[in-house]
Amino acid sequence: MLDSLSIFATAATAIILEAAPFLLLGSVIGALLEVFVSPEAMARCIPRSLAARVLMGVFGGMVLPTCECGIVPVVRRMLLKGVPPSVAVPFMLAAPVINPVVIASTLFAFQGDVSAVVVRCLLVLVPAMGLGVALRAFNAQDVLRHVPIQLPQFSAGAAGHETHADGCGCGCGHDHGTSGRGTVLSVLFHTAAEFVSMARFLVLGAVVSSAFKAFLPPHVLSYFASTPYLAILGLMLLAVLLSICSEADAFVAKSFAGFPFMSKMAFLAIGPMVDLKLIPLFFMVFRRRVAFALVIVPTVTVFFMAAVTAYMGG
Amino acid sequence: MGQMMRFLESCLLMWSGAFMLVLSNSTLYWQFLNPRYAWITMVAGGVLVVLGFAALYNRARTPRTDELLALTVAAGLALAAFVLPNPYFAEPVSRLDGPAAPMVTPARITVDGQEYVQINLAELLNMEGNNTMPQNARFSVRGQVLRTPSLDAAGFIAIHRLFVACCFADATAVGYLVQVDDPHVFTQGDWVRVTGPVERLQNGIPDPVLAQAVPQSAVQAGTGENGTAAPQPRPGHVVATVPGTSGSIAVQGVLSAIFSDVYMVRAEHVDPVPMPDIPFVFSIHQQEPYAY
Repeated sequence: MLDSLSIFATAATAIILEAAPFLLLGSVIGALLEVFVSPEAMARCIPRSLAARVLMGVFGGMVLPTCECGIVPVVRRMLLKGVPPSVAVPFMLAAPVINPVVIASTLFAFQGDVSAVVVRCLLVLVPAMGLGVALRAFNAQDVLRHVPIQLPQFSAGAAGHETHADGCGCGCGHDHGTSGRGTVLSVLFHTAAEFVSMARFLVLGAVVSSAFKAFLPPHVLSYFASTPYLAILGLMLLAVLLSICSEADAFVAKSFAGFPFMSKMAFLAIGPMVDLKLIPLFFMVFRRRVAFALVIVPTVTVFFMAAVTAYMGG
Repeated sequence: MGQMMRFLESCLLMWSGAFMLVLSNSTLYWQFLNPRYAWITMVAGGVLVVLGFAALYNRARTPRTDELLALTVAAGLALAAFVLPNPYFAEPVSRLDGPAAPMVTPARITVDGQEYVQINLAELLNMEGNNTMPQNARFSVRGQVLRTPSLDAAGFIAIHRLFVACCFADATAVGYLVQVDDPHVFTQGDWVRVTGPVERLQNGIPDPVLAQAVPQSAVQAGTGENGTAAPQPRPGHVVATVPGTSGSIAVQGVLSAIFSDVYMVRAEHVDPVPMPDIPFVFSIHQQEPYAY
């Protein structure tokens, strides 16, 4: 029992230590967007056509590689700055997979097997693009929950100093100063608040996934290897429970000897889109219907695509 | 009350940052993360310390109780990880005198006049996966002993190590079966160095002569050529039925383990060795000198 507790504590701490820098980076990017980028400037970067917007979202990770640990605060800020959901949501789902770092790690783990990369990307692209198209008529107010992170309390009067720079999209309604010191402080305050708020879910996800790692008997996995469809379902569930970073999950997937190829691909596709760290963040940041869609649509799509491919002999 | 909460938040952020800064510069980092990410942890730690200091001055903010609780739980988990005995290393490494010095291991060693290539178990599996396993090669590998009743009966032990790509949570056990004279003299969990040739494992008949005579596809299918029964061993050669390794060998604390189903190490020497300074495998080299 002590051994299992030690493994549990070590694994949970390792997940937190691994994810914290990326969550911090996401919080910093979110704060910089908040303080320096105006909605008008953001609007100039967004293409007009739906197809171009969705493609910009799904392939945005090739320019801005982002781990799933830190992507939600970034996307939230993007939405508040006027980036349409048809760009931001595909980016949130696809960027943790369709980026140079994860593509390289997948290639290495599967020993140069390009089909692993292609299949993994396809399994992510379809639900990401689908949700982007489905949300084409939505704006930020339609998808985000109106629960600002202490932002109304960031008032110049109460703080005694200016905490927002021009371009703040928090909707707090206060005058914003543009002094250098105020700008730096504003970025620091936003970053700290965002990080501490999101860290709750990182810790929760780390605790639950480490518990499964430490206390779940390994032979339980063998029950799911009996049929291809059960294998796909089992590994998808495991991906959600383990909440492994997308840069490392390829090595874990490769190690599931005895499981069919498509089940490993389903594991690699669903984890970065839906896991125990992301699910509570979705429900905190997005409206309930949108949060459910972010969980259900990728899950169903990945399972369906993997099952059909397995049926066809893939 | 708000002031107290803000002060607590500031302390927790600064403590977290300081912990990351110290850990990234200590010899303990490998227990949690791949050492190549130490610089990321160090930078993040520094930023958290700054954020914690700045948070003291954000008089407009009142942190929530659950936010502070989460940071406290994270701190408690880190403490537990250091206090509780970890089954993967017998004695907790407790040096805080700077990052571990890069280990220089010779590419090859000589034992009883025979030369062996020093390689780690993950590199050996990688070589097997790339179909670059050289004929008649002799290797020196290290790992922890793993025994099961079925392996004992077949005259084998397994040796394994944990391969960590990013962090401890994604650790995968990697290993090989080792044919030994008497499995019962080995103790589960002991660190050993095994030197010997790598040979094909075909339904429990570790016979390099047979392996050369039978096509690759037939070897993997467990039959002879054209689907006939497996060829018979040489007279006097002990036939042992080795259980398939897929899913049959479990390692504590990891949900997945990779043991070769194709090759095994025929031990010429098995020597007890101390636990390496870093028992986990973090890197895989594609050619000599291997990381070992």
